[in-house]
Amino acid sequence: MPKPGRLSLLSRTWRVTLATLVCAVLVVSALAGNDDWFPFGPMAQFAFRAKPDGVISSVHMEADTSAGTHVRVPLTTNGVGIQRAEVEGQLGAFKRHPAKLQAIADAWRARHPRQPRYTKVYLVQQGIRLHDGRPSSRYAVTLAVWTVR
Amino acid sequence: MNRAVACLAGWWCRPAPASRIAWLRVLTYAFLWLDVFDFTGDVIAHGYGAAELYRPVLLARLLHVPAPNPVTVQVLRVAILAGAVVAAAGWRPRLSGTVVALAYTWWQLVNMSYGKVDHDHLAILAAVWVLPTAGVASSRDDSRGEAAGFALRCVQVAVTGTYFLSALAKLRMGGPDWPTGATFAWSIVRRGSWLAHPLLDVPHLLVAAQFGLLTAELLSPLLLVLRGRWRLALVLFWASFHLVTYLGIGIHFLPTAILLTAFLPLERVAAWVRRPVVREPGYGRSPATSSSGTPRTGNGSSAS
Repeated sequence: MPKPGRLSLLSRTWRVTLATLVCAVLVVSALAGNDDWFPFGPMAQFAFRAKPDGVISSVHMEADTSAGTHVRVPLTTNGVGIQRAEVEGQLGAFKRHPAKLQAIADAWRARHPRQPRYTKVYLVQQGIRLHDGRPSSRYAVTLAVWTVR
Repeated sequence: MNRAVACLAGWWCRPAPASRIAWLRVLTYAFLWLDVFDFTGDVIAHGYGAAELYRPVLLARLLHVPAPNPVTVQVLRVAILAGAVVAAAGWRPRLSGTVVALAYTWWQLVNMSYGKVDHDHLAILAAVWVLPTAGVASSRDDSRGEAAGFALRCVQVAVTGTYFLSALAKLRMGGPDWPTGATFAWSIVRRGSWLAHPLLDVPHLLVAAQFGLLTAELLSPLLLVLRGRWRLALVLFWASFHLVTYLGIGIHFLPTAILLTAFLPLERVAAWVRRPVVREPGYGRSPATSSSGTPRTGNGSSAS
């Protein structure tokens, strides 16, 4: 038996081995991994380099409603249960399969049954052009449109 | 070789007070309540939302974690919340802590499987997995042990790694010229507060800040090396960094920030809070009933 406060050889070995292994995985992941490796993925937040003369884009959704209005879709937990960044993470899939926008309309109806329903959902990308790191001009393009079933 | 291994093992398992683990448990498990109800409350929404938006990450696929439904998310939430209370109280910490670790990992796998992965959860996930390994740890037991030391070290390494690996990711993905880019401007345009927006007019300041951040991240392993006041200063630097990014772009990074406390002598803070208060003789009696009729000044009257 080890002394009080000391670990036995076995307890020490598995701890140190596992900890060292996890550290190794994290370093490999930082150099070669991607977000799919969560929770061991690279710490990629803000790791990309935005060009000082590039474009900053962000995505949002708009919708026509059964009340005849045109509204902004709340891409939040309490809105349609999916966040803007999550939509951006799946942007390719939304562009290729606009039918996925049906899920947004369904989620809105399920969460806000008393509000006007969405009849048409628009996926819009907005951009701000930078010049020398300063915002200069803006644009917007519609990436996908879906008529709600 | 053997000496190197022994040295490495000694570093990972350097004895630490049991009481520090007890306090770190309270902080960690209390944070889970905040996380589950607020920061990652989306998981509940995902449980009631559209399963076709579920895109499981690698580990979730390997473990066959199914798309969440109302039952799984509610059960997970109860398991985390109840387990956290039991584990924070220190009752059967190995068992209760492991239940929390399993449920919370499942919860986070679901959370990160909708196209967006957050990078602020490494340290808290490490904490929920290693805290149970420290076994029973009372807040009144200041004796040092290797099990406590190992758990503490792992949390410290996870916090440091979060910063250091961020620098590696920036150099890999953004390239060595990451600091000269407009990444901070990008973040302010997309999510900046009224406090941050004026900074867009001073791009050079943002570039300087980018150099500063990358440097700080590369030097973060100093957290594991420095002692005493220098370490405290570095901890305060990172804490204020998180405060500034919260005020500027609404990113709090609390799951990491809260565990900066793993670098502090928590048991001493607690001891200070519990310190015996020196009271004047006659304290609490009204002067009218005092025998001498004059305010009494006993020993240590100034040390109230």
